[in-house]
Parts: sequence; C-alpha cells; structure tokens
Amino acid sequence: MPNLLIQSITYIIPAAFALLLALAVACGAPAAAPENTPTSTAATMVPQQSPQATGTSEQPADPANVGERPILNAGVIWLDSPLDPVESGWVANQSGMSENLFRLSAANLSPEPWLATAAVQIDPLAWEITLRTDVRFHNGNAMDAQAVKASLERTIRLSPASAENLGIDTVSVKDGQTITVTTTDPRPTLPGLLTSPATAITDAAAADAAGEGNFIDAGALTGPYIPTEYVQKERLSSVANDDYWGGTPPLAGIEHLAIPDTNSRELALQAGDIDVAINISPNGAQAINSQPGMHSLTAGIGTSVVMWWVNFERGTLSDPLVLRAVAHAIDRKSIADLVAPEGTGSFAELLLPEALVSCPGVTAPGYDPDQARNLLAQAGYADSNGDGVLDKDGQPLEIVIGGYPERFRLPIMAEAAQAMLVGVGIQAEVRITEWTVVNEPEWDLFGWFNNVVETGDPVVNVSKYAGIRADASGSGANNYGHYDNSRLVDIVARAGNLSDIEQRKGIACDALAVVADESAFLPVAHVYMVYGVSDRVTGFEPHPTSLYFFDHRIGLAQ
Amino acid sequence: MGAYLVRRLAILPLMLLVISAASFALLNLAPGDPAEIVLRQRNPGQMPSPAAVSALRAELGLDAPLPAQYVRWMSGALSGDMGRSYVTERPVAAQLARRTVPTVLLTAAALALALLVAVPVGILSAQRRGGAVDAIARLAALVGAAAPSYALAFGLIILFAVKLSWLPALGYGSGSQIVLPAIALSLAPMAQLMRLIRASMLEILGQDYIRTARAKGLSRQAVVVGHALRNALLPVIGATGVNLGYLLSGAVIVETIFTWPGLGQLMVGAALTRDYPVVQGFVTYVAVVVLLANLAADIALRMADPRLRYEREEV
Repeated sequence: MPNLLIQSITYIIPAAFALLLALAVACGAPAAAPENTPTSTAATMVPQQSPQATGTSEQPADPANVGERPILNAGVIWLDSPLDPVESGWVANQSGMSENLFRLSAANLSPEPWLATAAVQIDPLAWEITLRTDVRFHNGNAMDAQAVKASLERTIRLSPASAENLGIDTVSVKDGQTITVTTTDPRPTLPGLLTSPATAITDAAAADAAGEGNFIDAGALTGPYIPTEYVQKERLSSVANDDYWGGTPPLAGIEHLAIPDTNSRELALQAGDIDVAINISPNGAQAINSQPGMHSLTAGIGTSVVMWWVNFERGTLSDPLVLRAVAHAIDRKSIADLVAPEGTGSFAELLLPEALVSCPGVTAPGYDPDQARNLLAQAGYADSNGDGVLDKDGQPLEIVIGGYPERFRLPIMAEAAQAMLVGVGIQAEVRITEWTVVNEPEWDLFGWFNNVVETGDPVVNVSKYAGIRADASGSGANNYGHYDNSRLVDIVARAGNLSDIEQRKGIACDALAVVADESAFLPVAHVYMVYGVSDRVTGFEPHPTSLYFFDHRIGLAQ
Repeated sequence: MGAYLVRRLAILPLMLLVISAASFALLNLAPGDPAEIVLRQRNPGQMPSPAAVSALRAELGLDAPLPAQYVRWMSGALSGDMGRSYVTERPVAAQLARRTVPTVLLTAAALALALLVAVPVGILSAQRRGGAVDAIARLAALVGAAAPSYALAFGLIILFAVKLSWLPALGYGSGSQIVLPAIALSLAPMAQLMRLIRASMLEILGQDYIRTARAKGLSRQAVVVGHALRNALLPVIGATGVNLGYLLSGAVIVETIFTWPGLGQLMVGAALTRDYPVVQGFVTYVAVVVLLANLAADIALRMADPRLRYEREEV
C-alpha cells in the first residue's frame, strides 16, 4: 500500500497536473458566468485575439447588426459603478452609452447642449430647456419632453445626492420638445449641474420595469453604444447604436477591460492587446511614444489638481507666519515639473486651471527660501541646539505631510517637499497612508488629487474646497483643513443668482485671490488625462475631463 | 490514522475562528472609512458630506461596536451568508465562487509547471553535483526564489508580449492567456521545490541501500528512478501543501498584473476600496483552502512514510 501510494504521489500527481496544464493551454480556460448580465446577451469575452489581430475580432458581438466593422478594445482603470445613472452613472457616461442634457465643452469646460438644444432662465427659479427632436433610446422609444420629465423625476426620486444638487421643485412639459424646470431656490448654473453623470437621460419607465439589477435589459440609454454585457470590475461589452442621432459609429462596438494597474494597462497597449489605454503615466507616455504604431494623446488641459490641504487646527500651521514660510519654502513649480512633466500636466499657480478661469495678476506665494527663513525668525524660531532643525520654547519645528498611495504623484510630492523644508530648518515627516485619514487631525499638509472642473462653474469649484456651497451656504463639510472661510463667504455670496459666466469667473478670481493670499491650499499641478492610442485608431478626440472617453466618431483602421 | 485525523479536524474550526477574528480586527484597525470611500467611488470627483457618510455607515452596520459586527458576520458565515459587497452590493459568497475557477486553473497550472520543471532539474542537479548543470540550476533557483513575482511578471510581459509578440499580455478566456501568469506564479515554488529535491536526492544517493543497489549491478538510471526517487520526493508532498498557500498569496499580485479575474484580483480591488465583507470573505475562504490542503498533505505524507506512523505509535 505505501509503495502504491508513493508511486501515486511521485508519478500520478505531477502527471495529472501536467494534463491539467495541457488541457488549460489547449482548450482555453472556461469563461466565468457574468454576475449581472442577461443570458440572452451577445456575450463577448475579453480580448483574445493574437497581438497581430488586435481590434479586428473575427467574432463581433452581434454579427447581424455590426457587419464588417471592427471592435475597439479599450483598457480602462475601473469598471466599478453600475450602468444605471441614478447609481452613479460614470461608467455609462465614459463609455459612450449614456448622455445628458448638457455636457462640458472640451474647449472651455463650460456647459454646452447635448441632448438639449438650449436652456433659458426665465426667472430666478425657472428654466426652459428645449430638446433635440431626433433622439431615441436604445429600446427604440423616442426621447421627448415627457420622457425627459420622467427621467429627471426618477433621478430625483432615486438619487438623494442629485436631488440635493439640482434643487428641482417641478418638471413640466411645455410642448413635445420643451420642458420647464422650477427649482426650490435659485440655481443659476442648472445646465452645469445637469452635466453630472447621475443626471443622464434614461427611459424611466423601461428602467423601472426592468427592475433592480436588470438595467442593461431596459435599453434605457441614448448614447452611440449599447451595452450588451457588464461584469462589474471586469469588463463591459457594447455594440454600436446604428440609430444614433449623431450618426452611425464606424465601430461594431467597444470592449472595455478593467486593468487597474497602470503598468499593465500601458504594456497591454504596447503588446497590442488593446487599442486605447485610458489614463497613462508620464513614463508610460514616454515609452508609448517611443514605440512604433502607437502614441499618446491628451487634450492638454488639466482638469484635476494635485495639491496639499493645510491643517489650520493642528497648531504648527495655524501660525500665519509659519504657514507663509512653508508656502515659500516649497518650490511647487519644480515639484510640478517632476510629477506632471510637459505633456502630462502643468504647474498650478492657483487652485483652478486657466481653461476654467483666468485670473491675471492673482498669484500665490512663490518659492523664496530666504523669505521663508525670515518669516520663521519673525515667528520666534531659531536653531538653538545647532542640529539644523529650528525650534521654539524647546520644541523642534516639525510637520507631518500626509497623503495616499493610489495617486502616484502624492508620495513623490511629499518627499520632494520634505527635502525642501529641511533646507529652511523644518523637519517634515511623510506619512502616506489612506485618503480618508484627511478626516483625522494627524497631519499638517495632506496631498490630494481631485477634479476641479465639476459642472464647469469656477465658483462651485473654489467654494467646495472651502466647505461652502456656490450660494455661500454650507456648514464646513469637506473643509478638511478647517480653513476659516469667512472672507470667502462674502465673496461667494455675490454669485448667488448670477448666471452670467463671465461675472461668475470674476467672482471666482476674487475668491482665488483670497485663498492664495491666505495659503488655504497649496496647489501643485493641474493634471491632464493622457491616453495611449494605437495609430490605427481614428477620430479619437480626447476630452480634458474623465467624463467622456468615447463618442460616435472613434474608429479603427482595418 | 483515524485518531490523528479526528484531532486535526477538531483543531480546524478553532484555527478558522482565530484567523477570521484576527483578520476582522486588523481590517477594522486599518485607516480609512469604507462608507466615505464607497461614496467617493459612486461619485468620483465629489467629496461626500458628513451626513451622507453617517447615513451610509448606519446602512452598512458600521456604526455598531466591532465585536457586534464580528458576531453578526460570523453568524451569517456559518449559515453560508458572507454578507454583501459594499461596492457591487452582490453576495460575497457568489463572488468568491465565481472567481474560484480562474484561480484554481492558474494555481494548478503553476503548480504543475513547478513540479514538471523542478523534479527533473532537481534530480539532474543532484546527479551532476558540482558540474555545469548543477551550477546553472542552482543559480536559476536562486534567481527564481529571490526575484519578486511582480518583477518577473512584468519582465515576462515585456519579453514575450511586447518584444516578441508571442503571447498576449493579459486577459482571460483563451489558452494562450494562461501561459505567462502561470510561469510568473510558478517560478518561486519551482525554485524552492528544485532545491528541496536536489538536497533530498543528494542525501538519498549517499545512503547504504543505494550503494548496495549499485553494487548489485543496477544501472545509475535504474537506481535513481527505482530506488532513490521515491524517497527523495517525500518532502515534496509536504512542500506542495505549503506551496499552495504561497501560490494563492502570489496569485494576488500575478492576477492583478495580468488582469486575471480570479480571487487575487478580487481581493486587491476589495482592499483598495475597503470592501470589508469581500476581504474578510477572501481571507476566510483562503484560510479554509490552505488548512485543508496542509491537512491533506500531512495525511498523504503519513500514509507514504511509515516512519511517521511508527514515531507516533512509539509516543
């Protein structure tokens, strides 16, 4: 018996594993059943074609529908959010499946009509919105005023956050293609608020009828691509919407593959497994540009900021002289060049990018280590024990620079700042932990990465960092640094009922001048969305934001 | 053997209890509020209000004391309900089940590859001790054991997918897509097994019964295959059980790099988003698998090696 067993172990088990390996390699691993997709969908797996055949799958998702057109394979970061807009809506918006009444312009980041054709504020509490006449949902139903009314009402009913943002009181149908929206209080930027992915227009009746978890069956969206299969966090398949109001897409469909690791995403493009890699790193862009057959693309407008929150409650930086000294001691421009080199970002003199609001003459404290030393001396700090670190009342001048690792720029920023602060006698400790640590009091500066063009309104985007709403109300939510925003409140209050964008930009500049003067935040760089793209991809115009990755124009040369 | 089996099985629930309690506590000690992270994920670019965070904390049961949360989770787990993902809101057990097949395929392929290479190379290395083959094998084993799996994985992608275009860089669904991740995952256990077999074979080849067999006129090959190999491979049985744990932990990194939709990739995504129920479910599930695999290896070893049974009986 033992001999038999030993023979089993020594020969049979390896042989069995070898057989398993051979089977796996020869036959292919079986596909796992998707979690939340209908069994009737034209299931297409993740890209399987050989590198040479990339993007021209022999088996399109729905041959009857898509003819000989190619399928584009895209590597995206996350496929987390559900497709139903009321549950987030980002993935559907990004992938060209859902559309809003308004979208942010690629040129100036202001709201522009999309499914709407115009919006007129008829009084402080009412807007009249005219709709396109040629839009149909994926299920074939027409998108008319009644459908849009039902969609907005569904959004308000199912998305409390959207209901709060929009402040909509009633939606009424004026005629077949016009709705009137009244708000509970003035919403001068309503078109901008309607750019939120959560407010994408859906066929509400069809979505409700499909029931929870079956949104994909409803055909309730309007975009150029129709979702056919979605496995959250893994892959999303789509076919072209041939009845799309903007024209027939040149692609048969798009296969989205979630590749969270940036290096893997970049290498997948270089290997030819995907045709477009969303959001690549500066190093990745360099590698991709040096390889034949592919290149990087960007709109060249930074719509996200990397910055530091300043903790005004922790003691050290609550002293305005020390805070000012820290602002002068950190060479933000050099750090910007490091973390967002040319082609991937630009130096952020102010919190908001110039594309959103240009404020000539408004500047933040620049790099000036001598001035920093003077300010620290004025604050009573001196190197009494000669160890190179300033002290006062026997306490060394130390600060903590926090951050989180998911945004690779933040640890680099922290270490660069640490080295610069040592130069003026400030000891800095870098603590890269987790982003919600920003809620805790254990930091002086905290690295942050965030969108700064939300809704396209500059007043909203400067106000939200100071914990106030664009109407100057608010109780300090998200004011992570506990910044005293009293000067800002008066300025932002002027925007109250103003819908004129130029006037709002003027107010935003005044607000930016205050936060720059008080070093309320220390912005470093405005970061571009950078794409790695195969040379065979045609008609791809990268949008500066991460709201819209694909539209009906993108194609793929055979 | 029966008593041994009963004793080992009796300890299993206790070990699982300790592992699950420890992982539950560690998860909750980690910085980061899952409610806030989930809200940020649902609305990228927006900062959730404290009221919204509090409401979600209450909805997820995170406002209850930690022991109460653990008891609730454990009572559910005992009845097969491991909770729902904070992110996808789907049952954790179903997600784990769906992700098991890809991970089993990958780890089985990696283990098979490790054995297929390690056994003959280890034997050859021992037979040619001090020669060129031995030196190359030992160097390769050193590199395989020392190099981090992520570096090996990226190296394989760059060489075989980017430079040579022989294989796809990532993905799941076709046979060719398993090759690179299986190689990346197999290299460390392959190196370890090879060194183990070499050492074991060297020890066996120096023993009297091997000399006797040679003196009886058996060929070198017949002695190795017929007499030495079976005994030399005994340590592999135990090492295979241990390596299963390594392979499952290594799969976390390899699956992420190769976008292989297995348990490891699920775990990384869940950890980044503080999806506690999924992470907790993964840890417990893997603990069960590893404990059972080790138990199976121990039993097999005791059945294969009479000395272990006799030692036990003498006690």
